[in-house]
Amino acid sequence: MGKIFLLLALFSQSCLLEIHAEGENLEKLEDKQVPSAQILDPVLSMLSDLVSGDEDVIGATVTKLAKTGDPRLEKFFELYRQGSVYNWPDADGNPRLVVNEETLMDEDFNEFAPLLHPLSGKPFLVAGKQAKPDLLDLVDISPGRKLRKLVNSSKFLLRLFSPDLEARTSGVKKCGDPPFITEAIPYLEQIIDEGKEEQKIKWLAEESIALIQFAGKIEGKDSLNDRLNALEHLGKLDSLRAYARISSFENDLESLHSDNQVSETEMAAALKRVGNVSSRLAGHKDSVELVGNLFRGVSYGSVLILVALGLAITFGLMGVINMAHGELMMIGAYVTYEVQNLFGHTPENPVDSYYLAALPLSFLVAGLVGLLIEGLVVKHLYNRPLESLLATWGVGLLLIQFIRIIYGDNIGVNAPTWARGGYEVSQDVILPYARLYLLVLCAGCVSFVYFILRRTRQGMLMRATMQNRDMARSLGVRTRNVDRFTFALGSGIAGVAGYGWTIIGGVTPDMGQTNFIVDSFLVVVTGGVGELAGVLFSGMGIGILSKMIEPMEFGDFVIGPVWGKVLLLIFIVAFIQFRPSGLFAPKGRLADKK
Amino acid sequence: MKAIVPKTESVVSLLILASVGFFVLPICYFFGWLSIGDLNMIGRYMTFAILAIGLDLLWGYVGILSLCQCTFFCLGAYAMGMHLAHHGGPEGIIDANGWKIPACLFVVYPLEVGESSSDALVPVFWKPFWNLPLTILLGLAIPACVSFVLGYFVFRSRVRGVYFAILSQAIAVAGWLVFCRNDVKLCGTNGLTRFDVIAPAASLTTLHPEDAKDQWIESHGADMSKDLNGDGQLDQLDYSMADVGFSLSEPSVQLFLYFLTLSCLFGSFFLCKRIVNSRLGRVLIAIRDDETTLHFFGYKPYVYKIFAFCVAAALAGLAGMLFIPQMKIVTPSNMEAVRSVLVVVWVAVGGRGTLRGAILGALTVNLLYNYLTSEHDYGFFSWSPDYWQIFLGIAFVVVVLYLPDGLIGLVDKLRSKLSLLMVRGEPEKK
Repeated sequence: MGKIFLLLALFSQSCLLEIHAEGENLEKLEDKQVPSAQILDPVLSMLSDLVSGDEDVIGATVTKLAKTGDPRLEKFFELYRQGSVYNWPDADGNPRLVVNEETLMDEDFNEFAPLLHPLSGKPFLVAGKQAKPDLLDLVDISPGRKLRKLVNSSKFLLRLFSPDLEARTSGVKKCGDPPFITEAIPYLEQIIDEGKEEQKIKWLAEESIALIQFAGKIEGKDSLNDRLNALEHLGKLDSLRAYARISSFENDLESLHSDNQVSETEMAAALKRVGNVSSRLAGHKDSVELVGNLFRGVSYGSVLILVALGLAITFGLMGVINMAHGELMMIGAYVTYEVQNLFGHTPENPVDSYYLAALPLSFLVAGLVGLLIEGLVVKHLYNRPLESLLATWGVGLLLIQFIRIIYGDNIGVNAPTWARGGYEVSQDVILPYARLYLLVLCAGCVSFVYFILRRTRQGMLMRATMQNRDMARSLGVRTRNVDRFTFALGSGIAGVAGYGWTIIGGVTPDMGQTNFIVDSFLVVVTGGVGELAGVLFSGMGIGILSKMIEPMEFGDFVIGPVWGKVLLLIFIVAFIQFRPSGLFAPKGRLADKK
Repeated sequence: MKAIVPKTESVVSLLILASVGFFVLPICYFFGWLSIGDLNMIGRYMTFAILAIGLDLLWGYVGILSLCQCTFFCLGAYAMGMHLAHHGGPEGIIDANGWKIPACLFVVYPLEVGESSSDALVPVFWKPFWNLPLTILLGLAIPACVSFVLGYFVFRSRVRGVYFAILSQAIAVAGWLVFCRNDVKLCGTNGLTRFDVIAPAASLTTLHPEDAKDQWIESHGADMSKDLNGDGQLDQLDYSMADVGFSLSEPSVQLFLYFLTLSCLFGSFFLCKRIVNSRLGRVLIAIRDDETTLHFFGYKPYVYKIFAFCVAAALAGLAGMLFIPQMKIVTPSNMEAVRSVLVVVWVAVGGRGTLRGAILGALTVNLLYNYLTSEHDYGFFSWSPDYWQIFLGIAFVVVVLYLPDGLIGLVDKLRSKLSLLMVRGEPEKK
C-alpha cells in the first residue's frame, strides 16, 4: 500500500512539472509576437491603409488584419464599426489612426477630442501628454454600410487566427452560434482541409458550418432540404448545440407552412426527419448528462471523504466531538494562501510549485494547532463527549475570529494554472482537472491513513489504545502520547482537506461552519464510527446520491440543491432507523462503549 | 449528579427575579431611568430565557442535547409573524379571494410565468393565521408536532447522545435552507416584517378579512369619512389603514408585552419545575443517568424522551411568538445553526439542570452581548465589537472546563463556603 502511494505521489509530481514547463514556453512565444516598440508594429502600419477611402482596399485590409489574429484588434474592430476611429494626419500629412470616444467643450464652444491609442487603448501621447486636438482636425474614416458587416464579422474571424489554442477553439465555436458568421465558412473549410489543426477544432469547424447551414444563412443552400441535410449531418456529429436549435427550426417550419411555402406533405416529411435526429441527440444528451452527474457525484463524494476523513479519526476512533474540525480545514486553506503569497503566485505571474509546497505545510500547521487544542482543551474531556462538543465549538469560534481579525473576511487563493480547464474523455464529457486532482488527493489521503493505521507500529498502538485503553496502558503503551498523535493526525488530514478545497471553492474565516461541519459529521455517523471503510462508502454514497437527486424533475419542479439536501437528510434519518449505528457498526464488546 | 440545593434557596432566587422583573425595572421606567427601548430589549431577552428553560428541561434533566431549538423558536415566530403581517401595513393589494396580500409577502411573491400581479393569491397556509387564538394554538402545536414526528423516528431507533446532537444540527441547517427560499412563500431571506398592530378585535372573532371588514363597516355605519385612501368605497385597504387594534409602537403596548413575557417566563418555569418534581421527572432524570437500566426495568424511554422534546419545542414556539411583536421582524437568520448552539451556551453558562440557571444564563449572556458588541474606550484599553466572539469562545471553554455547574453552581459554592464560615464563626460569638 505504501509503495503505491509513493508511486502516485511521484507520478503526480512529474506530471505537474511537465505542465508547468509547457506553460513557460507558451509565455515566451507570446512575448515574441507582441513587440513593445509600437512604431515597428506591423499591425499598426497595416492600419494606415484604412484611410485610403477605396472600399476594396479597406475591405482587403480588414481581412488581412483579421488574419493576423492579434487579440488587440478585437476591441479596435468594435471601435471602428462604431465610428470612433479617426485619422489625425501629422504635420507632414502622414496618416495617424486614433480613437476618440467622448469630447470636451471649452467656454467658447470649441470641441476638443482626447485621443486614445487604437491598439492599446491607452492615452495617445504627443510629447508625453495626451493629445487633445480640435475635433475639426480629425478626419472621419468610419466604414460604410457594406464594410460595417465585414468589420463586425472580422471580430469573430480574428479569433480563428489567434496563436492561442483556447481563443482559436472558442472562435471556431462562436462562428456557429447566432448571429452565424457566414463569412467564416471559407476559413472553416480551410481548417478542416489543411489537417494541421487539432481534431477537436476540426470537429468544431464542421459543426459550425453545419449549424450555419441549418440556420439557413448560406445563400444558395438555404432550401428546406439543404437545412434538413445539415441537421442530419449534425445528428451524426452528436452535436448538442444543434439540439438546442431544433425548436427554433420548428418555428421557422411553422411560419413557412402558414405562408404556404411548404405543403402539408413536405412538412410532415420534414418533421419526421427532425424527429429522428432529435431523438438521437436527446439520447446523446441523456447519456452525457448521466456521465456528468455521475462524475459530479463521485467528485462531491471525494470532497466529502476528504473532509470527513480527519473526523473519522478524531470522532470515529477517539470519540471526541471536534466541532473545531471545520476550523482546522480553514487553517489548512489559509496556510495555502500564505504559501501562495510567499511564492508570489498570481494569475498573471503563476508559480505553480507553491501548490505542492502547501500540501505538507498545511498538514503540519493544522496538525500543530490540533496538538495545541488537544493539550489545552480536549484532554480534559475524553469521557464527556457532549461537553467536548461545546468546548471545541468555542475553540472554533476563537479561531474564526482570530483569522477574521488578521485577514478580513475574504481572501483569494488562485488555483495553479494546470487546474484550469479539463480533460475531455469523449465528446461533451469534460472532467475538470481540479476535480480530478481532488480525487487523487482523496485517494492519497485515504491510503496514507490506512498505511499508518495498518502498517506502522504507531498505528498498531493507536488501534490498541482505542480498542482497550486500560489493557494497552497496562502493557506499557503510553496512551497519552498515542492520544496526542491521533488527534494531531486527524487535524492534519483536516488541514489537507482545507488545502484541497482552495482549488474549487472560496476561502472565508467561517468556511468550516457553513460548508463542512454538518456534512462531515453526517458522513461519519452514516458510515458508522470506528471503521474507516464506513467513511469511504457513506461519503461516496451520499455524494453520488445527492448529485443524482438534484437534477431530477417532477413536471415544473426541479429538486435542486436545497430540496436535495432536505431529501438526503430524510433519507439519512430513515436509514438510521434500520442501521442505528451506521453502515459499519462496531461489533461485540466495542458496541457497548459509549 | 445534580447538586442538591435546599428548596428555600431556589425560592429566594425566584423572589429576587420576580421582584426585579415586576417592580424594580418598571419603576425605573416610570422614573425615566430606563427607556421603553431598554425594557423592550429585556423583554426580548426574557423570551430567550423561555427558550433556554425548554432546552434545560431537555438537556439538563433528560440528557438530550438538541441543537435545533431555534428552528422551533422560528416556527413559533413565523406563525405569529404571519398573523401580524396579515394585520399590518397599509400597503398591499387585495387578491381575487378578498385577502389582502401582506406587504412583505408581496415584495418577494414569485409570480408564475404569464401571471400578472393581479393574479397573485395569498397562499392557503397563510390563511389560518388571520385569527389570533388559532395562531397561538398553531404556534404551539406546529413545533410540538414537528418535534413529535422527529422524536418518534429518531428516539425509537435509539439514536442518542452526540448522534442526536449532530442529527438535530443537520435538521437546523435544512430548516434554515428551506426558509431562505422564496418559493416556500415565507418571504425568503427578507423575512416577515411590516407589523403595525396586535390583537384587533376582529382577529379574535373572524376567520376571513372580508368578515372583519364587514364588522368594521357595521360598527361605523358606512361612514364615508373612514374612506382613508379616498377611492370612494370602504374596502379592506381602508380597514387596514384604520386604527384598529393596539399599535406595536405604543409604549403602553410594549410595556404590556413586557409583562406578558415575564408572566409566561414564570409560567413556563413553574411548568417545568412541576414536571421535574413529579414522578415523571424522576423517570426523565433516570433516562439521563442510565437509559439502558431504565429500559430493563420495563419503561419505554423513547416515550418520555418524545414528551420532553415536545414540551421543549412548544416552549420554544411560545418564546418565538412572544419575541416577534417585540422585535417586529423575523428572518431565517434567527434559525441558523449557530443560534441554536448559542442557546446551549446560555444554559451551560447559567448552570445545567437547574432551570433557574437557564434563566440566569440567558439573561446574563444576552445582556453581556448587548454591552460588548458596541465599542468602549476604557482609556488603557479600547474594546472593539470584533472581540465579542473571542470572549464568547473563551467563555465556552472556561465554563465547560472549570465551571461545569455554571454561574448557579458558582453562587451555590460561594454561599456554602460563606455559611460554613458563619457556622464556624458562631461559637466564637457565644
